[in-house]
Order: sequence, then structure tokens, then C-alpha cells
Amino acid sequence: MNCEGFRQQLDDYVDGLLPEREHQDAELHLGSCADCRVEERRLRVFLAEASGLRREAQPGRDLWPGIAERIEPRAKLLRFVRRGGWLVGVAAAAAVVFALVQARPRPGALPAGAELRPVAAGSVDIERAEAEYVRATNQLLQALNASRGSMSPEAQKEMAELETSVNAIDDALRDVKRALETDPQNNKLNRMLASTHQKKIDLLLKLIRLSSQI
Amino acid sequence: MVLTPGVGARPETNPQDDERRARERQRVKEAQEGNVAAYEELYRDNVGRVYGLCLRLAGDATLAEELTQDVFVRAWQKLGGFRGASAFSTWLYPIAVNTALSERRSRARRSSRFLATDDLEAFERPERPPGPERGIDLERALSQLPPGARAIFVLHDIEGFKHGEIAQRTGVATGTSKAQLHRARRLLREALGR
Repeated sequence: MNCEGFRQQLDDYVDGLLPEREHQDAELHLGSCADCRVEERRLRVFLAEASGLRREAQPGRDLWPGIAERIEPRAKLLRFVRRGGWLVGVAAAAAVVFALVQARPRPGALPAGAELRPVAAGSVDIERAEAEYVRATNQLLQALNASRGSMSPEAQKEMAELETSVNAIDDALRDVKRALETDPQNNKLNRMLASTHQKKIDLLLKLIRLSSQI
Repeated sequence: MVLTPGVGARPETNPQDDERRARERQRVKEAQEGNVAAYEELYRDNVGRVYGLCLRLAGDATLAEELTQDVFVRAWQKLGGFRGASAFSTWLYPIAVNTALSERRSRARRSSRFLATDDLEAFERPERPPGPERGIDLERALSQLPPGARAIFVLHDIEGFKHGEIAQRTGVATGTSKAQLHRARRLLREALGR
């Protein structure tokens, strides 16, 4: 190996990237060439200086307020989910569905001439449970909406679809309840009310899954 | 492929005490639950390293500040996936590198920006030993490098990344990374007369 060949391989030699045979050739050349030894030493000193450069620097202003503003929506959502607000909603929704199913007369279970009991849809307990359920769902939706900016495009699409579903289910619930006001003993309507609530529970669970992904 | 972060290539000389690590783990856990104050502590502990890297890669103090904010916002969004297998800084650093390189790539065609002289003050420290100007000279020369060569020099010779990692992060071939590094070293040594 001559000086020109050595200089071409000097960086790889210093970085320890030469194959064994070429490394040995370089060592042999170094042992016999004072100029290349100086050059090698200079490069090593330079690299030591570079690796010793300070790796920290302080920005000229406090960057935290700008960060805090951008992360707050997701923080709000995380706090909401961690507080378990959604659990209350699910429990309340489950109570609504359970009460409705229990209140629904089973086909053929009533003796002929027996009077049908009014359905429980309008009872105070169920109304309270339902209100809690609606509150929890709305809170979760609001928190998710506030976090939209930090969602992936896929999550944003799913969020839009879930919102549409929520609106459709709420419309359906209103329609069924209105119908039940005029025909409170209608079994079909009661079953419809229960299944619509069940759909809303499923939707709530999807929202919770979505919130855990962002 | 699992990447070895740059900080792993140059381990902390001070292993830090268990108490500090435990406090950091606690802050991470709190932040994962939405505690912004806990995340601010993590930010304060790590902003110097992140900003230092962004400043060298961006070559512009204002852009480096924006990038630093982006890094911590991205890290916040990904924090739920951090399982604490490493130090928070080790987990954070690749996010910083990727964020800075991503921005560098996106504006590479638009313009070439240079580090202003005043920006170099950010790297100065009062406790420097006699003859600190050599470091500043190198910083100044570094700021004059073409952006591609500068990024690879910073990642390899300052931050300790290997060529394979650099190639993956920058999207260039390993051979290109080596060629750019050698070019950067040559230009710097010529500029510094070494």
C-alpha cells in the first residue's frame, strides 16, 4: 500500500471499518510512513474534538407554553378515560337495557285476559340511568373531538363514522320513545328500544377503544 | 429492525442514581395518565439535548425551537406506547432525530439555511477549559457544511450513530452515508486548517 492508497482508506481505517486484510496492510504502511502517521494522528485528534462537542444547548425562550397548549386536548381525554367516566356510562347503559328487557313481557307468558304492566321505559330510575349514560357518552365524544388534531387519518375517519352513528342512534331512540308514549305496551317497540340501547353501548365501547389508541 | 438509539452508542458516563430513574419512571406513568405537569418535568430534563440536536441539524435557532416543540408533542402522542424498557431520553432521542431529519428533507429543495453566529452562543458554557474557541470554530465550520453532509457528520461523529442507522433514518444508501461523512470531515478539516 502506498500513501495515496492509505489516504483513501484513512477514514475507514480510523472508524474500524476496513476488512481485516486491508486493515493489516494499512497498519504495515503506517509503520513505515511518518507522514501518514501524522495524518492519521491529526484525524483522530479532530474526531476526538468533534465527539467532545457539547451536545446540549438551551433555546432562547421557554418552549413549554407552546407545547402545553398543543398537548392539552389529549391530556384532557386521558384524564377522562383514567377517571373511569366511561365505566359509569357503560354501567348506566347496561342498567337501562337490563331494566327494559326485564320489563318486557315475554310472549306467551301472560295468561289470557291478564293485564299488561306498563313498561319501565318511563320509570325514574331508568331515566336517571339513561341521563348518566348520555352524559358519559357526550363527555367522551367531546374529549375525542378535542383530540382530533393529534389523531391519525385512520382514527379521524373512524371518529367521523362513529359520530354519524351516534347521531343516527340518538334519532332512533327519540323515535322509539315517542312511539312508546302513544303505545306503551307495544312489545315490538320495547324490544326495539332495548336493542337500540344495546347498539349505543357497542358504540360507546368502540369510542373507548378509539380513545385508547390516540 | 430494532434501531440502537444514538445515546446508546455513547453511554452515559454517569449511570445516574436509582432515585432519579425511579422518579423519571413515576413521571412517565403520570404523564401517560394525562398529567401535564409530570410531562413538563420530563421536558425540562430533556429539552437541552433535544434542542442541541435540532439546532445542529436545522442550522437555524428559530427552526430548531419549532422542531423541539414538535418533538415533545410527537413524544406525547406516542407516550402510551413507551413501556419503560429504557430511559425516557433513550426512547425520546430517535423521535428527535426523525423529526429533525424529516423537516430537513422536506425543506431541502426549498432553501439552504445557515447557522447565525449568535446561535452558536447556545452551545457555549462558562466552565469550558482554556482554549474553548476550538469548539466554537468547529461549530462555525460545521454550520457552513452542505446540509446533507452536516447531518451525517452530526449523527455519526457527534451523536455516535452507525452508518446503517443513519442510512435508515435519512433514506440514503450506506455507501452514500460513508461518502458524505468523509466529504464532511475533509471540508471541516480544510476549513479549520487541520
